[in-house]
Amino acid sequence: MIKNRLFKLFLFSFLVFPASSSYKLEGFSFGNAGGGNISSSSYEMSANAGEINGQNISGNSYDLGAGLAFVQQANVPTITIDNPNNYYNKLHFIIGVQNNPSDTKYAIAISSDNFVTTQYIKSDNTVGSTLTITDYQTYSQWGGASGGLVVGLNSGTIYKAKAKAMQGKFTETAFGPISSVATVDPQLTFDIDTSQNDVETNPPYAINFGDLMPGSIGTGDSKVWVDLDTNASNGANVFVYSQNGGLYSPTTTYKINSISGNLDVATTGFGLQNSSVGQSSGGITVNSPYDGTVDIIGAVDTSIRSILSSTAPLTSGRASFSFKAKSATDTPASSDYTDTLTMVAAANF
Amino acid sequence: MKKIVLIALLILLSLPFFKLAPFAFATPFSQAMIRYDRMKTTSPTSIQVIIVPQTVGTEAKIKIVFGAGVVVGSGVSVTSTNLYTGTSLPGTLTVTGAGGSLVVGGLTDLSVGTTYGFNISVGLSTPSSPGQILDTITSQTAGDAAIDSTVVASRFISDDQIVITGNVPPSFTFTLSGNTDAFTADLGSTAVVSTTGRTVSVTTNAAKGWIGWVKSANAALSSATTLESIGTTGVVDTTPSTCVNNSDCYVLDADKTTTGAGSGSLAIAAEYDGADASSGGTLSTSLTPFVTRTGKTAGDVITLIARASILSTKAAGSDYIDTLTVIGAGNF
Repeated sequence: MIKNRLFKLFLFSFLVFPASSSYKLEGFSFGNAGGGNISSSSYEMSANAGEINGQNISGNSYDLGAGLAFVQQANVPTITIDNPNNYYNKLHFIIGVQNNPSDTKYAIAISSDNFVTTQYIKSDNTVGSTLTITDYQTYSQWGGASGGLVVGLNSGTIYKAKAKAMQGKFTETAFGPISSVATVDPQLTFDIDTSQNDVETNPPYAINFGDLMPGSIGTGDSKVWVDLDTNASNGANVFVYSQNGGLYSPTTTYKINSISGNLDVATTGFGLQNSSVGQSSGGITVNSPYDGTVDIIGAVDTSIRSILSSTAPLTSGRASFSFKAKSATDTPASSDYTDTLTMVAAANF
Repeated sequence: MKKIVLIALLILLSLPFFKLAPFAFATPFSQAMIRYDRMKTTSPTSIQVIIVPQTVGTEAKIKIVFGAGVVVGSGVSVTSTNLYTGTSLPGTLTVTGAGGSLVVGGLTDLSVGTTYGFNISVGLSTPSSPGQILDTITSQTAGDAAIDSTVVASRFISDDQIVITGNVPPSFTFTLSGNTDAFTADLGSTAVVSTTGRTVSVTTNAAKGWIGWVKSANAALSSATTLESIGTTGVVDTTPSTCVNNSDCYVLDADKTTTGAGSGSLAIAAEYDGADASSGGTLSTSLTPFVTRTGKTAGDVITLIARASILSTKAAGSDYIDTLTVIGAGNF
C-alpha cells in the first residue's frame, strides 16, 4: 500500500505543474505522513508522502494545484512586451512580479513561432537557445519598473514572451501568461528639394549662379534641401558626388575646380556650405568641411563624400546647403559652366 | 502495478525525445548598410556594402537578396576600392548573380567586430517606381548555412541629381599708367633721348587673347611756336628703325614688362620691338598693332617709350609735342 502511494506520488511529481497568479493556498494538505529531500551531487528532489494527489483544477486563466510542492512555489509572474519606439531589431519588456519578494529571480522565454521553438533572453539581453542559471535575474536586474530591451531580433516579426519565477530551491513556477508584439520593418526616408526657402519641390532640380564676376563670390539662386528619416540603430548618412569635380565649360574646356577652403582667399573655386540643420528626434551632424561659415566651403568632386551623418534613429531630419563659386580674372568667358551633383542616402542598420 | 511501472519506464525513456530542440536562426550583423550610388528609379547603379559580423563562424560567402525591382544583370563585378569605412573582405573575391540576388564568394573567414566593405560596381539597376524596398544581407558558410543576416531598407526617388549652371561674362581691363610722358633730357644732335615711358596694363578672360594699337596725331613731334617738326623715321614695315645722331628721328619702342598668368603667348609687334635705346617703330596716324596676346591673362604690362634725335640746326622750342592714342581690345 505504502509502495503504491509512493509510486503514484513519483508519477504525480512528473506530470502535474500547478500554478496560480491570484490565489495562494498555505498549509494545504491532508493525510500528510511526512517527507524529505533526496539529493545527489548534481540534483535535489523534494518529496512528500501522504499528500493529496490527483489532477490540477484548471480554468481559462488559472491553474490550481495541491500539495506542499505547489504551496512553496513562487508566484507565477507576468511579462509585458511592447515596441514603444518603432524598433526593428529589439523590443521592450517589463516583468510583473505578482507580489514576489525582491530576491525572486525570473527567467524569460521568447519565440517567433508561437513557442513551437523556444529561446530565452540571456542575462546580456541577447537571445539564446539555452537557459542557464545566470539567465535567472531579479526584477531589478531585468530593469525594474523601466524594464529592459531584448536585442538581436529580426525585423517585421511577431515575438511572444513569457516569464517564470524562482525563489530558492524547489520554488520554480511554470511560465506565466504570454505577451506579444511585433518588430517593425527597417525604414529609410530620403528626399531632395531645391528652393531658396524651406519648401517641398519636385524634380528636375536645378541651381543657377547667374554671372560669376571675376574676383567676386557668387551664391546659387537656390539651396538644396534634404529630408532624412530612419529607424536604423546606427543612423544614416547623406552622400554627394560630382560629375565634373567643378564647374566645367565644354566650349572653353576650362573648369572652375571644386575646393575645400575659404573662397575669400582663393583665386577661384566652387563648393558646398551648410545653411541649416535640424530634426524632431535623434541627432544629425553636418560633416566637415561642409560646416563652414561665411565663405568657407567644402569640395564636391567625383569621390562620394558624406555631408550629413546621424548615429542613431532619426526622425524628420532636414538640412539645407548653399553652393558658392568664384571665377578669376582669367577664367575664360563662357555661358556653359555646369556640373551635375548626385545626392544619395544610406542607413546603417 | 506492473502496467504502471511499464508506463513510468516508457515515460522516463522517452523524455529525451520530447526535450525542446534549440531554435537555430541567423543573428543580425552588428551593423549592415547598402549604399546605392544612384537612388533614381530605373537607373544603372553600383552599390557599396558595409558589414560588421556579430557571430563567430567561418564565412565563405556574402549573399544579397534584393527587394522587388532591383535587377542584377550580367557582368556584375566586385571591387574593394574607395570604401566609405572599413577594410576589404579577405580572400580572392568572386561574384555571381542574376534576377534579384547575388553572391560574393571567395571569402576566407571574417572577424567579429571588424568593419568590412565591398562594392558591386556594375550590373545593377534600380526599381522602376519610387519607394522603399528591403534588401537582405547574409553571411554564409561554404555549405550555405547562414551566420549573420540583416534586412536593410533602401529608398528610391524620382531624381537624385541637381544640375548647377553658371555664366562667366567677358571681361577686359585696360589701364594706362599716365597721360603724359616727357623726354628725360633736352633733345640734341649728339645723342638719342628717350621718354620716361608709360605702361599699358591689361587683364582679360578672352579665350583668344587681346591686341593693343597705337596711333600718332602728327606722326611727328611738332612745334606750334617754331612751325618745325621732328618727323617719325622709316615706314611701318615690321622692322624697327634706328635713330642716329644729328638727324631728325622719332620712334616708339614697346617692351614686355610683365607677362601675366594665363594662356597663349604675349608678343610685341615686330615694328615696335626696338633692339636698343636708339631704336623703335615708325609712328602712324592710323591705328597700328604694337602687341598681341593669344590667350587670357591675369595681368600683362607693356611699357611704351618714345625716342628722338634732332639735327643740329633744329629750331629751338619747348613745345615739340605729339599725342599718341593707345587702345586695346579682347578677342573673345
